[in-house]
Amino acid sequence: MKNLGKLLEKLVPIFLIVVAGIVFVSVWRLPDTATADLVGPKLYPGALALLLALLSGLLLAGVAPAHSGDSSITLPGMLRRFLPLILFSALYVLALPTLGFLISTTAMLLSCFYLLGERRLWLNLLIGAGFALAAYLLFAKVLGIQLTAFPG
Amino acid sequence: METLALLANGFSQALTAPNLLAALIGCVLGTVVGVLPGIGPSTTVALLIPVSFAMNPATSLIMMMGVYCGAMYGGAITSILVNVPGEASSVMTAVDGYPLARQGRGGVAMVVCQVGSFIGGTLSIVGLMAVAMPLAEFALRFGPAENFSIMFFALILASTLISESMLRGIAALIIGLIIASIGTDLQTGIGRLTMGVQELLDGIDNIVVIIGVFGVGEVLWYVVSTYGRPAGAMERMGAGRWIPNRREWRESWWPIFRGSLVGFLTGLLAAGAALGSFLAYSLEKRLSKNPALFGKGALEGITSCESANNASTGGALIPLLTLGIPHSGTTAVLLTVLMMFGLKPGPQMMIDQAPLMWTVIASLYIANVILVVLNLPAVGVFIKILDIPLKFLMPIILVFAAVGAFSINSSLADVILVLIFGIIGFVMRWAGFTPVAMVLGVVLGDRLEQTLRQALMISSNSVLIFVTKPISLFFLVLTAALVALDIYTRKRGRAADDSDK
Repeated sequence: MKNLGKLLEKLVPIFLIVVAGIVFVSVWRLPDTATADLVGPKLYPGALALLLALLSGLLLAGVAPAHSGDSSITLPGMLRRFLPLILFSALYVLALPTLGFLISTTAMLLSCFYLLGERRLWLNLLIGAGFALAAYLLFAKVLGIQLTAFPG
Repeated sequence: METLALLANGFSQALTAPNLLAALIGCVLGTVVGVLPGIGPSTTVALLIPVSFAMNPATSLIMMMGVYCGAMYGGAITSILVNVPGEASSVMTAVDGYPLARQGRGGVAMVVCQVGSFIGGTLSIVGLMAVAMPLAEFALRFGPAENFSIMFFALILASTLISESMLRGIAALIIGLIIASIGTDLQTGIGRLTMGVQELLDGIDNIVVIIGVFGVGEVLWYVVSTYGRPAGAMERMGAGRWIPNRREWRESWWPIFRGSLVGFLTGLLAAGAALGSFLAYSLEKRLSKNPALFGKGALEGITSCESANNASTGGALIPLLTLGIPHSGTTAVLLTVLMMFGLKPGPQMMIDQAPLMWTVIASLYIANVILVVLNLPAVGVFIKILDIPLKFLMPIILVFAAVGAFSINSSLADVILVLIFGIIGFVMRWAGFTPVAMVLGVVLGDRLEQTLRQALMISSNSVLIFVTKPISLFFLVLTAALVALDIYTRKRGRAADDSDK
């Protein structure tokens, strides 16, 4: 995992240089407009992009002290916790308009509790469904946020 | 003496049953709004406008002031307990508040924050009463150039102080400033960096970034970093004690008073509560005997932030009431309410409508008392959240974050963005960048750009305006000096470490 940490130290500045390049090109393609100020819509984000590229270059060159990394972040942890959680979250967002808040939230919580090691399904269902209902009542009924309880 | 007589009359009006009830309702609503990310005090005050038609001006204003003050109290609760700041002004509270909760000192953190909020809020009202007009005239000297310089100073100072590496801190800040420039340019109406996505034309709400980086980011960090621990382990943060001991009070008093002063003065300016909390935090870290503790659970950090953001309410009311100039979304809505009742904010209003104004000022004192009386005992209840096993609490925080994001604009796009920023926050933290610096850039980035462009328009595009205006020059020189000092201190620290090895 130390190697992954060192790889990240190189990859992130490279990624930031690419992002800076995209930002710079994107704003420079904006149409010219008549504005009263020197900056206009392009110069400020363009300058920030150049500055980001410069700082990222310095980081890549090793000007900043090396980051010691965090040994608690492991590859198995990324594969067996991070990726599934991102997947569950993405599915939750997709399911919300279709299945409604109560069903999708209960399913999301049930999956996450199981992922984090709680194997008692009855407990997961009880807590998941209970929280989903309480959250729905608070947010939708008391605070008036537009949440659909059930599909349709 | 006249002031005291007016204040006494104000209290006699504010302490009537309908006005007390309005203050109580406003305070409770405000606290709830401050706790929940996504719903801000400006939205809540705006939603109360139709209700206020049925009330007299004093009662209506008292309720709205209760919401305004309450939101500042409420923001600390979720910042400390679950690392999800309810408001931009509570971001720095989360930086040290949540680590304190992880150490089983969440209750202590909440108590000192509530007391700090009370003192900050009360002192700012005293300031409002005593020096409103002279301070309002002083605030007028802060034009766009001065506002730009002070925000630039706050951003550079905060992002370098909270980062282990200055280079990474400033890089994270710049990422935040770029994110803040996504959306429609105000001056020209051109969409920038939207990549053809319609939903990005309105820009990215800073609450979305805050919820994503703090809430979702922390959940992701927890689930990955705890992989491999025995299944079924009921790990929890633990409520612990919630009454601070003498040493903790001793650590907190001076930060409370310094934070109150910083917050009151910055409340006069455009960036208000968020700027005040960033500056107060940075100041405390500079003055602390244990600066290394900041970011890992420093009580001084959170008490200064919370007293600053509450003190900013009094400061923000000064330009509103004396000059009719709102500096935030909430004060802009309050201005609308004042004008709706036929009142014209300005120097004359304090004289022509003296009974009404002093009733509102008295109600601010009452609101602060109500809030501390309501929230202090509630700490014992709130901290029970910390006894919930983390394997249940973390997914609940994820759902809470999603609903909070959805509540901003009832848009799933915000929920997706929260998830994206959670991933960004996780990766930044893993790579040694400080996500907080990015959040600071997002919160103040838009105002920074607008003040820069306004200053250049005023000066006919001469950049010399930033150095010819004395206040602006002062803050730019101060920024350079503090950065130089920071570089020197870090180099000396590294040289000392190398010689030890």
